[in-house]
Amino acid sequence: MKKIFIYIAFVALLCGCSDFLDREPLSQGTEVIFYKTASQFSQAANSLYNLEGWKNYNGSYELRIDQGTDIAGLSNNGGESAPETDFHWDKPYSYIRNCNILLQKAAEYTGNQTDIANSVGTAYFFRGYQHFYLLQRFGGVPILDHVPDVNDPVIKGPRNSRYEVINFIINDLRAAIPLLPQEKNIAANDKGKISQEAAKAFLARVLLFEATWEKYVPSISYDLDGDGTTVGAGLIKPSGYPTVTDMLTEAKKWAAEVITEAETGTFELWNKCDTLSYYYLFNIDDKNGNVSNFMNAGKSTNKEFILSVKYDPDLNSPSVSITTDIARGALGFSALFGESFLCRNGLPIYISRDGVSREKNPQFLGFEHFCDEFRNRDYRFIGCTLPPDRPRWVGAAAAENQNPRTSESIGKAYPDPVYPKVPYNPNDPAFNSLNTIYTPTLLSVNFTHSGYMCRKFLPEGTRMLNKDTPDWPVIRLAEVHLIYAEATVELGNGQISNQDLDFSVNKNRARARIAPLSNELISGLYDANYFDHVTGRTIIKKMNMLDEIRRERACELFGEGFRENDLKRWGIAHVNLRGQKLGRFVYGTEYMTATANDATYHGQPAYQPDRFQSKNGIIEEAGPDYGRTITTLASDLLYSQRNYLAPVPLTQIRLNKSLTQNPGW
Amino acid sequence: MRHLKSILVCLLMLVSLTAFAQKRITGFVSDASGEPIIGASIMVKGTSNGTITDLNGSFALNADKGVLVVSYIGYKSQELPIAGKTSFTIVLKEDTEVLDEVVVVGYGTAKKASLTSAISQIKGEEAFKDRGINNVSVALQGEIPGLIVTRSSTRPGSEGVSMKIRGDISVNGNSSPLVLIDGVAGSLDELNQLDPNDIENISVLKDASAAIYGARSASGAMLVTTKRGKKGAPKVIYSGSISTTIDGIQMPITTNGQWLDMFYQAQFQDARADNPSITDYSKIAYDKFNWWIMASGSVLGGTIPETGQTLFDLPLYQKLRKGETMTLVRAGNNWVHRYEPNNYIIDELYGQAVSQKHSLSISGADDKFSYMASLGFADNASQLKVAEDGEKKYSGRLNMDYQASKNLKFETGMSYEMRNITTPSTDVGTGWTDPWFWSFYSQTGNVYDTFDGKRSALGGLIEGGQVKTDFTTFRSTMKATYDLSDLTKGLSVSVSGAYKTVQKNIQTLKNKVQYYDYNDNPTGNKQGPGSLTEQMSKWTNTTLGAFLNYERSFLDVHNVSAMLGMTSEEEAYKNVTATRKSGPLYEESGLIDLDAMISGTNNEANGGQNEWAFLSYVTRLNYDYDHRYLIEFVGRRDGSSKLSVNQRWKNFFSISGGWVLSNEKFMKEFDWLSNLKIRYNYGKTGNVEGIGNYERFATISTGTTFFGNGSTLIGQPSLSLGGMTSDSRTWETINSYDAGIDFGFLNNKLYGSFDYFKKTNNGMFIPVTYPATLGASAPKTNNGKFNAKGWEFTLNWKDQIGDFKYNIGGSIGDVKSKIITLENNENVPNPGINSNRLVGMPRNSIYVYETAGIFQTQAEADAFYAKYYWNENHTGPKPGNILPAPAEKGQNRLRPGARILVDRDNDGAITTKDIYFAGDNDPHLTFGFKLGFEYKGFDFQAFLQGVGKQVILRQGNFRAPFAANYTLQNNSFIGKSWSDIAILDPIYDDPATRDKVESTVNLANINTNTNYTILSRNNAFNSFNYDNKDVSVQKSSYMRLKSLVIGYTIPRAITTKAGISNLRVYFSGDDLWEWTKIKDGYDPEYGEQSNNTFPFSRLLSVGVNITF
Repeated sequence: MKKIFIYIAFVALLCGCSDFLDREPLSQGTEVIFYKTASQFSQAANSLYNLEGWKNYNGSYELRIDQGTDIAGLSNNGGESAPETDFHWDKPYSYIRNCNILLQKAAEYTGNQTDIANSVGTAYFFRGYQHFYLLQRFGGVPILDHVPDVNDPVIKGPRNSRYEVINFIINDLRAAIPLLPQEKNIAANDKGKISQEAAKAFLARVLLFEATWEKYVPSISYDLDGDGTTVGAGLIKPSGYPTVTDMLTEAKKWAAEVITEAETGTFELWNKCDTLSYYYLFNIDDKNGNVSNFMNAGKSTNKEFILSVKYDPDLNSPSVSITTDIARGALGFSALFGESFLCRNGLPIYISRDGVSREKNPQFLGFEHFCDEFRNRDYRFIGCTLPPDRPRWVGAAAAENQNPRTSESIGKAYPDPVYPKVPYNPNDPAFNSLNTIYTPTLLSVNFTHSGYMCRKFLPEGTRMLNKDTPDWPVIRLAEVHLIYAEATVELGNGQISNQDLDFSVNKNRARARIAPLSNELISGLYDANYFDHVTGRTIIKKMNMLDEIRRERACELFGEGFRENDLKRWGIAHVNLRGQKLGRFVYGTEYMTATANDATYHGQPAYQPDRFQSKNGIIEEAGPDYGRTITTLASDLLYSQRNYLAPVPLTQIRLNKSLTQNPGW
Repeated sequence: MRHLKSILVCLLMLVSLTAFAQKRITGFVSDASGEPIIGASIMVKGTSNGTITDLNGSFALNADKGVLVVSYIGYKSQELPIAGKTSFTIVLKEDTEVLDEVVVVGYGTAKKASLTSAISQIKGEEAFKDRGINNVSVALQGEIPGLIVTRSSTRPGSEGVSMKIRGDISVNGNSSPLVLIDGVAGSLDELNQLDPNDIENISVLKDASAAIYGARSASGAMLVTTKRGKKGAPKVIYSGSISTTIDGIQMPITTNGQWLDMFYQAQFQDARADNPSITDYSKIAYDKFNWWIMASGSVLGGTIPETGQTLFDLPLYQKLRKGETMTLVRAGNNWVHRYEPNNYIIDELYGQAVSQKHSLSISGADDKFSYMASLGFADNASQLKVAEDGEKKYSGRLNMDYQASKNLKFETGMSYEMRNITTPSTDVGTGWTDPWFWSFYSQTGNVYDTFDGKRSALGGLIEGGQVKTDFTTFRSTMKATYDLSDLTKGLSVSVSGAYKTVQKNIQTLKNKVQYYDYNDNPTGNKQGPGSLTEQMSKWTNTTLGAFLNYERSFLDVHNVSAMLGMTSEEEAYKNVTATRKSGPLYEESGLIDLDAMISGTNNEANGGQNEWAFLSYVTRLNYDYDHRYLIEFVGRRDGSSKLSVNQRWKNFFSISGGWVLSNEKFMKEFDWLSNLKIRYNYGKTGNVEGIGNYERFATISTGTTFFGNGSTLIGQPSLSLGGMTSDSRTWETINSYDAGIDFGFLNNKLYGSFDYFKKTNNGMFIPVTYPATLGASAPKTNNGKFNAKGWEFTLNWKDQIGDFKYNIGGSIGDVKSKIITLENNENVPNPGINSNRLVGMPRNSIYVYETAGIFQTQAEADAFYAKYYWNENHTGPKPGNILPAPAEKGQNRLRPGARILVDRDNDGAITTKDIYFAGDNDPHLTFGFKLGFEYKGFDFQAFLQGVGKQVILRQGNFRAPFAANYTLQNNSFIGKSWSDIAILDPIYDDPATRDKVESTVNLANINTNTNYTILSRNNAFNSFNYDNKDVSVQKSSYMRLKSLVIGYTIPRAITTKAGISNLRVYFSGDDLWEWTKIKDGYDPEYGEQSNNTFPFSRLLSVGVNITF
């Protein structure tokens, strides 16, 4: 009997313990319990905010900040070969996967779909956003509209054509708009979440991009599409694919809706710091009493950014020194671009009335004296560059927050300057002051004199290096103005009404304190300071609305990562990014007469051609460019038509034999 | 689970019994000298009726017929027919045969004679007795054939130990064996926490017999059994020792003087290379010499305050080389520098350390109750002189057995162990970077700043705070065995339970370190503002088991035993980490605890937890025919919480057989042969490495996304599915074969064994890359293949000549690993160490260029360029060329004194295709060798351990002369470099006449018959000459006297008067001597790295063992 009992006990032991092995993760949720409630969907949507801010998708500060374009200064480009791997390809797909997971789970959601509408809208937005990121760089790419498994055919499938991708992006964004909340209905704690207006503005950007691409890029005479089977992503157009006019019309419509909404007070151009508003807009940072600008206007006053990457010195620091790595290190500011800023009367620095004779804009004071060229100009010019006679408030130079200068005196835009005494005295305290003004000189070995020192993004305030945390603008109202104006002028074949200008870009110009653009203003006038990238010389060109709006775009969006894509969609990237580039004037300027007053060269001439020569020489031929330096030789600029599309990384082509390479790589 | 527990409780309650009485017999058992034997077992043969002898060696038993079997461990059993007798006097003879030794196997024990698998067992006494070393895993080095223990340091608590049984089984993980302490799975850390004195024995399951541990058995199993009470009077044993370190192999780091000499020679040769047209070398020494840090305006030198003169270049060099003490004021920052060039940082950092250990145990047993209680303490310090570095160990253990009734026996155990390791938070092993010309401390004893660079090793060590790692283990085990012989003869049932909790707390305190100049002006600091991290990890493990055991002989020849059981094991892990990064709360308050977190920013807290469980069925079945034919089957069915239901259950097994030839009749005629057995084992084991705890779940990754509209953001939780899951993943499965032979000759005075084994991992995890459009990284899959083959041989001789007992023996083994399959692998070797990437090669394969001496003239070098460098048109190098570009002058080019490479593939160019396989850096032919004797109270034991074959490629900045030009140098290179001229020693020159050298004393002589290239401070040139070249491959084989013990037992006649039954004093030494093939001055066990000043030490101990 006992024996039997034991055997029974043993058998019982051996069975029925299956739940013993069912262990769920203790500190992590699992798929099983997730995507069940609206708030979980909202949390899942929060994970989709993968945007490049002060750092790119690869976590480094090497940004898309117009580095190496014509406005930022070029040193060399082109001639590269296809890379083995490229995070620009890999990362967006990992973000798209999460969007698709959310959308798939939303389809399975048993609750009321309106409860999760915002999250679903966010997923549609970001799926479109990431596909557009890929499209701008690579052209047509495989569309991922579902969550693939390792055996999914799309993983080993071919690329979709750019037209299929654009169609897909437009549809995603159109789907997103009605699902998203209006900006005015987003609670204060949720500010920064995707709004209807953000989606509309982004869709307008996509439509303008593609419309102008399809309008102008054929003119570069290079088959970027390929046949889709041996090279390129092919030409397949989905049925009902919009025409260029359709896209421009829709871009204008969405931009108009955003601008109209803005006018109700939802958004506005940030204008808190008088004539320096444009400059301070990009480094507003006010936590812990950190003085971000001389008007003490903090982040809460910024209603211009429609979508931004939000930073905080304690919670979410970008861990990058904006001062040294971005504003000074990476982002140049070319001489040609500097000269393209208008005078406050709304006209170029040199004009012509007959297309032949060249006259100085009466407001332009010339290059003779160091500071003259900065006077009476578009205030965005000195928002982007540092005038040589003004010291600036500066972030901490040393570690440990020992900041020497803060903009503590409200209302004062610049600190008081200090000048070294004459004659030279080695103990002059001016040599140790951070507010010292030195005479500009050309006393560096092989000077290039390529442009102006960049000021945009350069932070002021008490923060230590690496702790600058202004928000990064992804979409801002000023861009929507530009989209509206450009779409309109493209639809109008170069024509745009004063009304449309006032509705859009003239708002940007008002902040920059320059005269509104109107048909009358430029009528019959020539820009006598137009730099022709083909010949590498300044020419005289009839002023027109398209050029002026493109100029507005460059001046307003400098450094924000638009330039190369703009040049590409206008079909001129291979022109503007090639050829000889010129720098600033030396002859006929104060450089020829001034003496240095810094400790090293005190009393010596500011320019000593025998000792320190310009790297590539100085233009000696007569003409508008006489006496300026040559900064970049044509032989160093190899950007070609194939660069309109980046090469598909080679590893991906090896892993997926169906992937075709872009033409020319 | 609750279900399981209640059944186990029921089983326990089931167990009850009564016994029956018979006629009473009595007796006395003694050894040959007449001493009573306490605890000898007296059984009536074929029954469970028996007893044991008491403290006087007497016994009483109820029995009237049959045969008495009298046995005691270490003695030969005797059988005496009762035949009506009621009183017995029995004398047991000592058993010199090792075959009766009982070996711990998986879930049980077996006699060594009946083993059919490769299982080695070592007694705690043998491995740990009298060793100064207190770390179990280090002490096991060389002790067990096939168990490869490596360490990289002699720092107590930071030895960098790794342990492998028979080499690697996968490219994943470190192939560490499963460690079980009293049946509870543990870790290497737990093993090292044990007081070695508590260990009864350690058994190592090397082949597929480990399959009884299923999914975790692939790397073998190590079973540690602690001591239990033995029958007899209470024994109180104290053992204690005190140890001191003495210098072992020191890191070969130059003194300042040596460095200056090497520096001068290198700069001189570099100046010649830069100016080949100058042949008047006395000119070079002045005109073209680069004084680097001694140049005017550089970091050394400055103004002599008394005279206002500046000191730099040659005059500064001379003063430094002569070791003159100087005080100089640095230009620029006006810091006061104190030069004491004869200082040697190694002497300041390291000294001798004193350690001690004590343990006290009480043990004993009577008929029903046995106990062993112990307390241990050890304090082991490293040679680091300026800061605390070492470990303290505390342990307590109580093992008790209780025979509750005739049939029911309880065995319990409880232990508590604590190990506190303290190390400085930074700068351990540093001090090698810069030559140290200065005072170590400022005038008032503050930490002096070298090179204005915050690189003083002393600063970090003394002031930088500490890392305190505290391990605490509590383990309790209980087992109840019920003898069911009444029911079925030979049947018993047992249930066991164990609970273990392990806690690992790491406190990392990083203080701000302030540096000063000689006059106590603060210069720089590091680790500011200071941080405190508290990391607390906890593991709890519950193991339950129920087993049926059956053991019986039929017809005297059929010996059958069977074990059937099930076990459950669950382990939970939890971790909490909190960090304060903003320094002390207020100045001088110190960073003591995290209370201060409430204020301050930049703090962090995080944590996590997980758990896993196994449910397993285990069995072991043995059949033995007449002790001649042996068969064993071992099996385990493992169910794991880690895998999905589809993959959850898997079977592991081993089947083995043995043939004891010596028991065959036809072998009986050979008297000299006492034992000969051949055996074979095959099985499948599993590997757990690389399987996550929650494989089957797509877990949610959490994050934070920031929103808000103001000066402060609001972090909102963000959640997403983390990674992909794969239902096709399962355990790595290893097929294992072992063929062995055991032999004994001359009455087992000479005995040993040989094993050959092969292990193949057929489902090794490797990552498979998919196109990025997948959007996630796919999990590793079972698509790789790996194998390891090897052999082991042991041979021992043990004998006694009168009072002189001696033994001599050793073991040697080898294992070679090979990667068989790696999907998507390009399989092209790179110069240097190729880890886990070459198919058909060992895990870590070294590939180097072949060299053919040194260029003696420029003409030779130019001819070499013509032949191997230039392409056909002489317009550029040949494709793939790795030679430095030719030039008229300059340092990094082929020139006299540079290395000649060999075009092994004869393609007319020197490219990466010319490399060849130069060996792998795993240890091969590992051996241990023991010699011991006892004579009239004296005992002696020596243990040698080593590696017969291993190659290494030195890494780090000391791999070649001036591999890094800013560091101190490896002094083993001094005087060996090629030079076609003699270099005069500038120390004797008069700096006033700065136009020619006046010295007549050579700093270096002409030396062209050497394989060390010309000295240079050009890193690229030095890398070309040394990196991944055959000349840099070193043999790392060594033999080390791991332990030497000389002891004396005070005659009992004397000690008994003091109430002491045994008193032994001993001297022991660890790592006292070694022979090594390493040629660049490092310890052979140190490994391939070189950036370290921490020396190896030897340990001298004196100790005493007292038994009351």
